[in-house]
Amino acid sequence: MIGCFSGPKRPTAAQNIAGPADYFERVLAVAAAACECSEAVTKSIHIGGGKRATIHFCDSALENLLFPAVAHQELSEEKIETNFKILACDSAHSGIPMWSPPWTNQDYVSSGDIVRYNNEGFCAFFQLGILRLYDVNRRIGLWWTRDYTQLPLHERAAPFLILFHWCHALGGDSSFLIHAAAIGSEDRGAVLLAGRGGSGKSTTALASLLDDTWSYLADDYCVVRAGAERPTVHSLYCSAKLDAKTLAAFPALSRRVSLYEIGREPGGKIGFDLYRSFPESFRRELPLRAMVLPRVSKENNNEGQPRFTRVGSGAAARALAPSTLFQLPGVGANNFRMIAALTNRIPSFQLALGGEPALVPRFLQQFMQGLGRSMKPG
Amino acid sequence: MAATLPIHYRANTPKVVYEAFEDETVLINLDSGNYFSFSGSGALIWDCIVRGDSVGSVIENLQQHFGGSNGIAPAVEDFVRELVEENLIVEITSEPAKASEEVARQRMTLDRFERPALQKYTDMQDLLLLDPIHEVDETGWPHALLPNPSTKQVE
Repeated sequence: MIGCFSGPKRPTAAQNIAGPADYFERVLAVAAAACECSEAVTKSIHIGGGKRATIHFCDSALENLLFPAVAHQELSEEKIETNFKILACDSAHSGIPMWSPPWTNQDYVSSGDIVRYNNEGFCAFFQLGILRLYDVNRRIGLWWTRDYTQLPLHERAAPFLILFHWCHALGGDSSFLIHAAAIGSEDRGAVLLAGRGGSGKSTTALASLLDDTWSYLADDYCVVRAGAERPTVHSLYCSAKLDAKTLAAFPALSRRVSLYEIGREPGGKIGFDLYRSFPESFRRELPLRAMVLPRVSKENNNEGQPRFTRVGSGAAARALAPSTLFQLPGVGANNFRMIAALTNRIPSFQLALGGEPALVPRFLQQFMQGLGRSMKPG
Repeated sequence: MAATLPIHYRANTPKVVYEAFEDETVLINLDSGNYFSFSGSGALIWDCIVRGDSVGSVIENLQQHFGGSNGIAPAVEDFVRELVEENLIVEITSEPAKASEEVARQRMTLDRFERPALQKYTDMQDLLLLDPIHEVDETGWPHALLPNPSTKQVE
């Protein structure tokens, strides 16, 4: 299918481009043309931290690929005012060619940032075949790829991640995106689960879906708002990427999520829509009480019972900041400062996981209750 | 090393970001994918250097505060050398605005000097290799690559 655009079909050379502002305007014109045709779809969602975004998709097929991962955040009110606008399109289906990049291959840095096209007013990032541009002052994000049928699972499971990150980190308030899971309950508040891949944070978060004393906020990325009052954690995505080992460890979870698959990596993980499987478990926001750093422990033979040990704010920052900063580039120093302030405000604990992952939420619940008033005030 | 003692350094920002915590100082090299931590004497030396003290004056102040030499000079020199090798600090040619003696004294809160240890963590490097830029097509855009199954994916 080719979209409604009737303009030139050939790629457009980027000549005489005067810098980030000029290039942004050209790409914005392309994206606006793609998102204004009759096949375009518009959705509005919460993106955590009290912020709302309107997303314009060039057609319903792109919406079907990306929207399920944020569908639990959809705003029910019509014509509500939002803080942030995204225009998302490709060229293969909209029929609109994109401006060629005005930068060279040498301008890409290892994280995906583009040298000379990131400044106080604009951000640019290219990774896994997807261009993201952001106008900081107007809060407009542009998302483009050649052909959306080639999107990697990572983007379908966490769409617009970099754009949401910029909207929060450069928004001038106290909300920021982090790489962590989050679970909680109305009476206990929420706990962040931080650590590198394989540490057990996703497993612990997923196990909470099968325990009705817990609510679920995030598996991989969440938003923290750390203002003057107690910090809060906010849901962003309702998706999870699970491997065969995790699915085998949670047969009850596997049975429920398998109805709502959103994509697969070749020979790797499978993405699922958790909200459609467990709608009653989701919470949009909870007060943040503590951070837990799970670690799979072979030495922990305490009858499978997990063991908690208090750790310092530096150790907590080491578990949270590097993976956040390397995945969410562009504002490293500012994000690190906010993460440091957070780890100084809430207590952190290392959790040596025992043998049975399904039991972890119950022990975590007992631990949170035991913490009670001994925790630092927020 | 005596000839290098008047040298001043600064933190290699913005490639390197760092924060001081009550128990340790954590540094992240956004270019290399490595991150680092140190505590005690290391945190004290780092604090003095990035606030404008020369290596020589850091050694002098430490010797004055902790008494005698006790291997302080070679320990500081080795630590600074490691910081340079890991691109965490860079030499500056002009003398920076120097921290006051009062500030320096306030930072000397350790009971005794211990040889500083730079702890290095390399487990995040794979995240930087998620999408290396390869060939571009006739439009100038890099080819979209499907993730390599052998490359670590984010959990």
